[in-house]
Amino acid sequence: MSPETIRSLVKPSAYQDSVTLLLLARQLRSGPGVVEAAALMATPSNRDLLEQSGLLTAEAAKAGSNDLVIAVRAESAAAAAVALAESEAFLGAKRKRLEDSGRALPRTLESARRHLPGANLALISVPGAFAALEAKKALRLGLHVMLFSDNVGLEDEVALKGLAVQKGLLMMGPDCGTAILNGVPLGFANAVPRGRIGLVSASGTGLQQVTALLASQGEGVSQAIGVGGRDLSEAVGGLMTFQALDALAADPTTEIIVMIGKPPAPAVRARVEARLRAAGKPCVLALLGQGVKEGRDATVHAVATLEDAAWAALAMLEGRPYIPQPFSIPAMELRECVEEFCRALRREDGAVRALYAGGTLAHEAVLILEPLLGPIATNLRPGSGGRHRVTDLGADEYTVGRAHPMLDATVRVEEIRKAAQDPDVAVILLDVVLGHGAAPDPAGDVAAAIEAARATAKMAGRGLAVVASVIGTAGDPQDLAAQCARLEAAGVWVLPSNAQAVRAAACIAGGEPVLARLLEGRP
Amino acid sequence: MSPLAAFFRQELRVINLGLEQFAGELDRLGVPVVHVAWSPPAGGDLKKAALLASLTDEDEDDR
Amino acid sequence: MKDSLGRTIRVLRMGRSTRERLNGAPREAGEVHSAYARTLNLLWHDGRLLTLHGPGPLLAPFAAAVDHLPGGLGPGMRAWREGEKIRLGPFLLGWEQGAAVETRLRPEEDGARLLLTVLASSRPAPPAAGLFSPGGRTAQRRLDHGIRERDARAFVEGAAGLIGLGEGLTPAGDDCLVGALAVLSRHAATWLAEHAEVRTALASASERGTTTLGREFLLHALGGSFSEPILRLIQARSAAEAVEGIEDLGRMGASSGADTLWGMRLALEALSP
Repeated sequence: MSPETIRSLVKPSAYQDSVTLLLLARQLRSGPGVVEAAALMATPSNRDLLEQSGLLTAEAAKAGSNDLVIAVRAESAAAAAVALAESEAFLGAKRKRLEDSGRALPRTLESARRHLPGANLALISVPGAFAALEAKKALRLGLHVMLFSDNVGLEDEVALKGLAVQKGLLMMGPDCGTAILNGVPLGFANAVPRGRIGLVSASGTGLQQVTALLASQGEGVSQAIGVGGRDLSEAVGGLMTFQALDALAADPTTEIIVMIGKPPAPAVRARVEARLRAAGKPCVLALLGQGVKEGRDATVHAVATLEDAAWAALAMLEGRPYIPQPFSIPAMELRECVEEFCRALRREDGAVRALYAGGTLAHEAVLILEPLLGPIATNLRPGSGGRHRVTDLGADEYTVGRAHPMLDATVRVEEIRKAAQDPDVAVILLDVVLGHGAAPDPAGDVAAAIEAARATAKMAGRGLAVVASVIGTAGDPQDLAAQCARLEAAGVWVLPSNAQAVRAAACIAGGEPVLARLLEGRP
Repeated sequence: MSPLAAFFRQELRVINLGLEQFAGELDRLGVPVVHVAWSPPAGGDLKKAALLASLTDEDEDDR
Repeated sequence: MKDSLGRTIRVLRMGRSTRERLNGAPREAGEVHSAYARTLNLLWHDGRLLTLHGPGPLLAPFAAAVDHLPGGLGPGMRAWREGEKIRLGPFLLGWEQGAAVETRLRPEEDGARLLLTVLASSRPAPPAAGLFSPGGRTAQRRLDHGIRERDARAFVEGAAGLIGLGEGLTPAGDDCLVGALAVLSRHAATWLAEHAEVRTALASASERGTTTLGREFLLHALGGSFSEPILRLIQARSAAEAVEGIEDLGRMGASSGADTLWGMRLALEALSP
């Protein structure tokens, strides 16, 4: 039998955590030709241990308690050398993926509470079937709930919200994608300063549009509470909306209340208005739907678009009246822009193809486009038809088995390509949404597709305009300015809000008559 | 003070069940958050899970 | 997220003695001793460790749980006192609003039975192999004898044999001894108090006999101070609490928790009549 070799490696003051040492020892022992191995701190007791195991070298004998000894006894010098070299590599790689002697993640809501004493909110995005069970558990444990999951049944929603109201807790959702509580953006939300405006919203991207606009003027949010899309239905009866409105009414830091949603069931609407008046604070009501009557009285200002909601709230703060304008760009500059795009189109008019990631923004687009351009085909209204099309790419038929367009641009890129090949399409209309939770570079993700689309159209001898709004703030992770610049470099006309982008698209598609109508203030 | 009014004055401390990215975002913001390695209870059987949940129903008052 | 110059790290929870150490920090407060993904050990100006980790129960009696662990800090980086905060690179550590908790065990001469019963009927993960080396077995026997017979000398011999023994950054023997000391601090506090020489001898043995981190745990244990998972388990008032506590502790480290439980069980069995 060839003589065995004992080799060691001493790493002074090398503080590898216990898990690493354990894995290292295992890896050493499994090496070819290795008879015995150890990875131990060179304490006196362990030096004894190494000696007993026939692993003590002169070098290791001189090491101190804070030094790491890696020792192997192998069938040959070569095998020992290889084993030690691999352990060096292992430690080098481990340095990159350090894990301390920490604990495994909790597996249940209950054990999570032990990990985080004082937890006050459960953010739930597990599959819909189980989401209701978890939400109920959370409420019973006294936690507020943000229920991001959709596919939660109506009965469950009513029961959950009933329980929440009973306990004075928030039950935001189901399908609540955005909230800002106590200054913290939750789900898909933008970095917005703390301020004096409180919001209650049935819509995630609606909330994002309004808060982003407020932030652009340096004003901020006290609380932005999501209530889920069905809260104002007759079955749910506005349970969470009223809970939220009452809370904002009582909150000393909230001076203005903004409510965002769709027109509620008639029975519910009357109660909503009464609650708003009872709040004792000025309120802005942005219920996006057909036939919404704009107007204001002493306390409530009803507006037709998300942008108007933001500006109306600001005006109320400053004690001045707000009169909606179709564009914030000076009329002359606007006209020049539109005319340039129209010229490039080389035709009288064309179709709008709107491809949206945000459902509410798509809805707003339909509401603005219809009076200006005529019937709109949209997947938001089954059975609708028209030359112009508005698509909510976040709808079920587009997202089954794939990521939401806020996170992954694949589907949108494909739709842009298809739109470019349709000779009737004159304008592509997009929303680009930034913020926490969104993709790292939404503009970059679509820019190449946009450039290709315009090139395609050009080669076919037609022009193609692309219009977009960027929903984001200067504090968002994705550099707002750079995102706008990237789009503009791709030839996109970027407008300050979704409403303005929609109107700009309508002007390009519909030409001078539409532009004149908007500038003259005709509805 | 109502529970909600009290909540508005607290520091947000979040338990995250589901999409891990939400926990990551909050963590990056310095918000105390614990992510739950969630898997469907009762082996994914919805009926059993609902039954289990109703059996272990405790109304804890955490405040 | 954008850069974080001057970013405040808030201590959420710390031991009372840790708060005093933070309050008493001079301008040169200390330096980083070692850094991991979820813990950061600082070598404080007083020559002892002060550990930072993420939210949750205190994983060491000398730890502070912070809302966000600063990343990118390496061994040797200095910690400076700046007003009411400690500066660590680009980060500012504040502890004003953190909860200060008691990390010392309250003695209670009765009640060992509950924990022993639950431990005996549970099946925790196996402790580290080093505890069962010849040296390890001898040490355990002496420790057991020392507790059973209230023989301080035998106890010290056994404990000294465990210090620095076995696998882990805190060697398994250290964890085992800490577990035993937790039981004794709770259920045989009088005996420990009457034998100050035990504390002196073991403090001395740990000085060169084990790693810096292991020594820190031991010195605190000798003063009756323990991590929150240990505190919760030892002070469990019901079987359910004890079961939870065993689960929580058992998950810690590679075998750290299991080694601690082993020591607890050893001491509990030795104490029972």
